[in-house]
Amino acid sequence: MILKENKTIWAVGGGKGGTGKSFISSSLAIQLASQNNDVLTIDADLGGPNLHTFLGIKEAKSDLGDFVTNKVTKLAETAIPTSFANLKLIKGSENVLFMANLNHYKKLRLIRQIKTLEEKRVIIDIGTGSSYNSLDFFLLSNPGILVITPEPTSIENTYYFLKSCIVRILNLYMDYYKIENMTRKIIKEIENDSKSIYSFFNTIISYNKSLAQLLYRALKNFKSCLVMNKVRSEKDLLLGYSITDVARKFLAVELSFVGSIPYDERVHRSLNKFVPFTLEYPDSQVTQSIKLISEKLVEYGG
Amino acid sequence: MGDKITPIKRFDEMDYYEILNVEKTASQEEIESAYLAGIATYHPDSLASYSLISEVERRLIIKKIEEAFQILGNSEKRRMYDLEINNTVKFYPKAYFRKSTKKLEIEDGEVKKNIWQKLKSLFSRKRKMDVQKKPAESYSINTGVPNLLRGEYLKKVREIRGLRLDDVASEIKMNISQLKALEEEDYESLPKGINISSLIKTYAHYLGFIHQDKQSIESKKDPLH
Repeated sequence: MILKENKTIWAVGGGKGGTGKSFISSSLAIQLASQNNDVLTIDADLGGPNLHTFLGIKEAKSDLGDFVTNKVTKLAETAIPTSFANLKLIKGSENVLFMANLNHYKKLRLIRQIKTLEEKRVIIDIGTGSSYNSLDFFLLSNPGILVITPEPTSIENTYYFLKSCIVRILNLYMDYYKIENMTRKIIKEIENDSKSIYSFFNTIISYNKSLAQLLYRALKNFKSCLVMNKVRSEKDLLLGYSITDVARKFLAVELSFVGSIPYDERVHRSLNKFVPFTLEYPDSQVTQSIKLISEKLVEYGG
Repeated sequence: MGDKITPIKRFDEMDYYEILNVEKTASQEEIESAYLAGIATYHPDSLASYSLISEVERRLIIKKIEEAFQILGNSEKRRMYDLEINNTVKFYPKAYFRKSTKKLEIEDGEVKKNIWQKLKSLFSRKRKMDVQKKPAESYSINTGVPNLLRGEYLKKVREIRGLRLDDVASEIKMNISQLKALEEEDYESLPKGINISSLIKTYAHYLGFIHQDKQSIESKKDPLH
C-alpha cells in the first residue's frame, strides 16, 4: 500500500468484544493529539459504534453514514471537532443495520478516501469480529493493532482473526492476479487447520514457483502489533510473548508485542462520567502504558 | 536471486535459534529466558497454545525447545552447532602460507591456533573427553544430572507456572523439605541412600519438561533391563 510520506493509519481490532478496543483507540488518539499531531479517529465499528462516548461526545451533526449514503461526497466533511486540540472524530453511524452490511464498492470508496485524508495520523476503531469489512480495514493499516485480554476466549478469537486475515490476503491476491480455483480449496482448509498453511505453500511451489513467491511475500508483509489489556499479573505479560511465538511458528505471521495495560477499575467509572480516563488520571499506570505503547507504535510505523 | 524462494518453515525445520526465537548473537542469559518462556508457552497449562495446535504438536515442540536449550545453553556445544549450521569452516590460506613479513608471521601464529581448534572441534571423541574433564560446566558434581535440571531452573519453571511448593509436594508425593533441597541443590540434607537424580527427574517431569525420561524411569523397574 502506498501512503503519503510519514502518514500512519492504525487500525485497532480483534476478534472479541469488550477487550478495550475503543478505549485504546481513543486514548491513543488523545495521546498523539497532545503531542501536536493532527489526528483523526474513525469509528468503523459497523456493528456497534461507541468511540464517541470514550471521547466525551454525546451527539454529532454528521457521521460516517452520511458518506456511505452519499449525503456528502468527501469523507473529510463528516469529521467533527472534539474537545481536544488537533483531534477530530468521524462518528460511527447510528444506522447500524445498514452499515453492518456495507457493500463492496462503498467500502472500497471509503478505503480510498481514508488513505488520502489530510491528517498525518489516522486511527480507525474497527470493532469486533472477523467480517470482510473489519478485515479489510485491518489490512489497510500500518500497522494493525490487535487488542486482547489475558483470557482463553480472547486468545482463541485472536487466532481466528489472524487466520481470517491470512485467508483474506491470499484470496485478495489470487483475485487480483486472476488465479483460478485450483488452490482455492486449500485456502478453505487453512481456515480449519493451521498446518495446511505449509501444505498450501508446498502445493503452490510445485505448481507455480513465482506465484508461491508472490503469495509468500504478501503474507510476510502482513505485520501487526499486539496490545494486552486488563493485565493483572506478570504471568499475563508472558502470555503476550507466548502468543506472538505461537503465531510465528504455526501461522507464519509476524506479530509484535508492543505493550500491556494494567487492569484498572476506574476506567469504567470515567466512562460513566463521559471523561476520558487518561485526562482524569494522567499519572496512573494505565496512562503511562498508553504513552509507551503510542511511542512504540510510532517507532514501528517508521 | 529472483527465483529463490524461502519456504515457510514448519517448526520441525527451524534451527535452534528460530525455535527459541533468539538472535544468533543472543547472550546465554537471553537464551535461558527464551527457553523458559518457550516452555511456558507450550506447556499443557498454557493459555497461549491450546486452541491453535494439537496436544501432540505441543509435546513435539517442547521436545524441540529442550533440545535447542541443551545445545545453545552450553557455550561449547553452541559453538559446535554454529559451525555446523554455518557449514563453513573458514581457513585462512593466504596468511597461513605467506611468511614474508614480520607482521604476517604474527598473524600466522594466531591463524594456526584457530585452525587447530577448529579441526579439534570437528572430532567428537576429543570433545567428549574435554567435557568430562570439566564436569562443573555441564553437569552438577553431586548427581550427574544435566545442568538443565539444576535446582534454579526447577524453581524458575515452577514459579513461572505459578505452582506452590506444597501443591507440588502433594501431587508427586514428596516432602516439601525434599523439594526445597532439590531447588537449593542442598543434597546433603536429603536422606542417605536416596536416588537424587530420580527425584529430580520426577520433579522435572511433573513440571512438564522432560518426556523421554518417563520411559527410562519405568524401564529401570524391570530387573531384566
